[in-house]
Formats: sequence, structure tokens, C-alpha cells
Amino acid sequence: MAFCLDASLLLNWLLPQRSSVAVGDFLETCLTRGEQLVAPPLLFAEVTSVIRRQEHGGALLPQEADAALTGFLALPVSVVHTGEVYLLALDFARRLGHARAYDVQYLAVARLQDCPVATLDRGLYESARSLGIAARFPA
Amino acid sequence: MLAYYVVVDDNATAPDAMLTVSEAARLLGRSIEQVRRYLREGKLRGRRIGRQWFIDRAALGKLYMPGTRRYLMVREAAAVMEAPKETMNEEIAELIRRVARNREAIRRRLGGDLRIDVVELLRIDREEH
Repeated sequence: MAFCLDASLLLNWLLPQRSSVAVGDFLETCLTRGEQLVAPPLLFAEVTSVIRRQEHGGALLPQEADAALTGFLALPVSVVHTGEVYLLALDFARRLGHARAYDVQYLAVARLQDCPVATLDRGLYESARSLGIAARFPA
Repeated sequence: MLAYYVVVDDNATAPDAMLTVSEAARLLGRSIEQVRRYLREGKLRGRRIGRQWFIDRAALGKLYMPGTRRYLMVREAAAVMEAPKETMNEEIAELIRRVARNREAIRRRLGGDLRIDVVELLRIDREEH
């Protein structure tokens, strides 16, 4: 089984949240079972950016930000980076009426890999469902 | 419907001492295209088998100056990738423990004031860019 992971899910695991037990259970089960984890390159930019935003705002110390990012980089996530991802993302953004084509890249990878997208972003979850893409919301 | 797609990361075909282009790209934080350019320009040592490039694991760290934080981070990530399959589960278990320790250290320092809402932050980040 494969899952396309979005940044909200991984950040929830990397950083303390009010309720992250379900996410931890889901992700750590995937990891220990050796499930294939896939994502677009956008995942790396988003995770890094949110960690930096937290560091810049004073919620994270530099060493905590480093540790979170290093933990993320050590995850066995396969990057899917082809022209098809972006063509499909553009198509999905049009169909959803979105002005931007960022988060739909996760949906494009999920469709291309024929796997569910796992996210904590309710909007992304609903978008996936409306496009007929399987989605998990482990919260 | 799109007619085809390509899965970039194909670990199964990489010889033991080598990395696929996508693995190297991930560890280096570079794009697939950049890694292919490094190979063409001779900045990375690799060899072609059929139509696919493979990169010598030992060559990977040479793109960074030893001792820099970035270098150490890349080496740490590479250590997980380089682990023999039989020790991979232990590496994953250690990674899970390490992330949990960092999470708990942050939680303790912040006390009950958990100001981090990643879903909201991500939504803001996506709207700003």
C-alpha cells in the first residue's frame, strides 16, 4: 500500500500539536510496515517553510528547527517529479476552481500513483473526495 | 486522462553501493534535473546502466564542505538511506524515537502554550505564495 503524504500530516508529526496521537499512530504504522510514501517536491518546500516560520516567530529554537527538519529529511519518502504531476495539478486546479496550483500537486501524485492522499487539511481532503481520489484524514 | 506517467524513484534497481538519481536528489535537496546536470558536468561521480544514471554513495558528500551543518544533515539523512535492509527497521525505530524526543523537548519548553498550529500555518503559507 502506498500513501501520498501532505505537509500538514508530516508537520503534525514533527512538531508538538494539541492532538497528534492519531497522526503519529498512522504515520509510524506506515513506516514500520514499510508502506511506500510518496509526495511531490512541494512537500520539502512546505515543511521547510513552516519550520522556518515557527523558528522566525520564536516558537522554535534553531536547534529544534534543525532537529525537526533533519528528522523529516531522513524519512523514506519517494519524490514524484515529472511533467505529468504539474499538468494534472493544473487540470485539477481548473476543475476545482482554484486560482493556485500548489496543494493540488499532492492530489496529482496520488492520482498518478493510484494511492490515497493522507492529509490534515480539511480543504485538501474535500478536494480529493470531489475528484474521486481516496483520502485519509487520520485525526 | 493522461496517457502515461513516470515514477522517478526506483530503489529496486540500484546496485548496493549506488544511489538512483532520485535518491541522490532527495539527499542533496536538489532536483532530479540538477543531479543529472552534475553528472553530465562531472561534478558527481556516477555511471550509466542502460538509460539510467547511478551515483556513487561516497561521492554524494563531496558536494558539500565537510564540517558545515548542511553537510552533517545530508550525511545523517544519507546514513538512513545507506543502512543495510536488515537494519532498516531499527533505523526507522530510532528515527521515530528521535522525532518524539524533539517534539517532547519543544512541548516541555513551551509548557501548555502550544502556539504551533501546522494546518493553519500551512494554509497561510499556501495563500501567500
